[in-house]
This record gives sequence, C-alpha cells and structure tokens, in this order.
Amino acid sequence: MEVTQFYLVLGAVLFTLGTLGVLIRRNTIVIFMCIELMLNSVNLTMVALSRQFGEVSGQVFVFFVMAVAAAEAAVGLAIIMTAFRNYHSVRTTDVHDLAG
Amino acid sequence: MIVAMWIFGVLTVLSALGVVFAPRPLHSALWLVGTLFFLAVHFALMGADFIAALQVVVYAGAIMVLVVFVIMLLGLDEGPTQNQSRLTLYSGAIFCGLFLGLLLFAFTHQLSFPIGSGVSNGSVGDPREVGRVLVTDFLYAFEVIALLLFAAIIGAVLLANDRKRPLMPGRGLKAVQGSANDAASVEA
Repeated sequence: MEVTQFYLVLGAVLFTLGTLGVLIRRNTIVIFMCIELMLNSVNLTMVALSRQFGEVSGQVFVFFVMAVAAAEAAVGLAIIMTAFRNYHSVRTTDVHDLAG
Repeated sequence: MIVAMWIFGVLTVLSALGVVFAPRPLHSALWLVGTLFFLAVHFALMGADFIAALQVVVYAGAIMVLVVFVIMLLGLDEGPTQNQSRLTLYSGAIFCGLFLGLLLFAFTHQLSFPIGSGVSNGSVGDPREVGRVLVTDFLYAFEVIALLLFAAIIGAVLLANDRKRPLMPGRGLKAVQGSANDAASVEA
C-alpha cells in the first residue's frame, strides 16, 4: 500500500472512531476528546496530502487547525465548567434543557 | 519507513479505540495523549518536523493538560456508569460502519490523483519553509488566528469566572480552608 493511501485510510479510521465516540458516549468531556480525535485525523490527512503534492500550505492549514483546536479547548472547557456549575453534572442525559 | 508506519498505525488505532471505549474519562484522556504522540510519530515519519513538534507541545502538552485539569477539578472521574441505550449504541455503530465503508471505498478506488506521483523526498516539512509561508502567503490568516485566540481567552475567562457561585457547595478552596479551621478549633 502506498504511503499516502495508507495515511488516508488511517485518517478515515480515526475520524470514524471519533464520530462513533461522539455518537455513543454520554460524558461531555469524552465527547470533547473525541472531537479532538476527529480534528487530528484531518490533520493527518492534510500532512499526507501535503507530502504527496510537495506543497507546504497543507502543513500551514494544520497549524491553523491546531490554533482553532486550542481556542475550542479553552472555550469548550469553560462551557463544560459552567454547565457543571449549573447542573452538577456534565452528562448529556442531565444537561438537556435545549432538547425541546 | 514502511515497517514503522504499520507498527505505529496499529498503535494509533488501538489507542484511539481506548479513547472511545475507556469507561473512565481520565483513562480516555490518557489514551488520547498516547494517540496524539503516535500521530506526532506519523508526522515525523512523513517529514513534517515542524508539525510533529507542534503536535507534542500544543496538543499533548497544553490542550491535554487543560482537559485533565478540568476532569480532576470537577471530580468527573466517576467510574463506569454507561447508561446509553442499546438503540443509540447500535444505530451509532451502523452509521459509523457505513461512513467508514464510504470513506475507505473513496480512498481505495476513487482517488482523483495518481498515488505515488508526487514529491515524496520528505523535504516538505522543513520548519524554515513552513514558517516563511506562514508569514508571507498566509499573513492575514495568521493575524486572524491571533485575534481568534485572543477572543477565545476572553470568552473562556468570562464563562468560567463566576465569583458569586462556587463550582460546588462544600468543595474548593473555601471548603478546604473551612475544614482546616474546624480542625484547628478542635485541636485548640
């Protein structure tokens, strides 16, 4: 198997695992970590394609994704703390006021 | 490289499975640290040295410390209480299976570029070149990212900082100080 194809497949597997975690887990922190996993699988794909085409901009995009992930981590964890303050729980089964 | 690629590929998938299926949140976080390290190995294998270093410093270093800190601050590591319904479990698994099948089909049959034709001498990830492109071609995006991070810091502080309401009554610094005072008065 070619290197680029191997990494595309690996990225697909990791992305699917992240999706599965977001769908089946109930703990907000674990869902958050699964989203990080999905972001990282996309980073892997971008680095592989950057290598394939000899183009640096793919790695610059990875840099931007990491910066956005850091911002998301800061705000997301602050939201989790606020939810915990109000509900004394972070499980999606307990925090469901917007569920309608 | 091929052997290392396969070994670390298997390790990456195994630790990603650990993230998804570990019953306790803290174990998920530790598996995620492992996954991020293995991904850094993959980046280094592909010659992206700058990204590999960033992966370890920013992800495995900064972000995961933040996650573990929140888990331990809130006392969320409560142990295995999996109460999702069978319906959620099976429908999620079926959806993800179909999704993975679609992606794998696309990546193994329908690639629109010839695999193996590109530059693959591993000279693409030179930190000097990445840095040069970052502050020339992508200068405006770079500045916008700086602004975004600044806004995220302010938003996080505004959301998380509530002096009137403690995280949990009877926990935190006040509680510790109160119990210490109680202990001191008992001793006296």
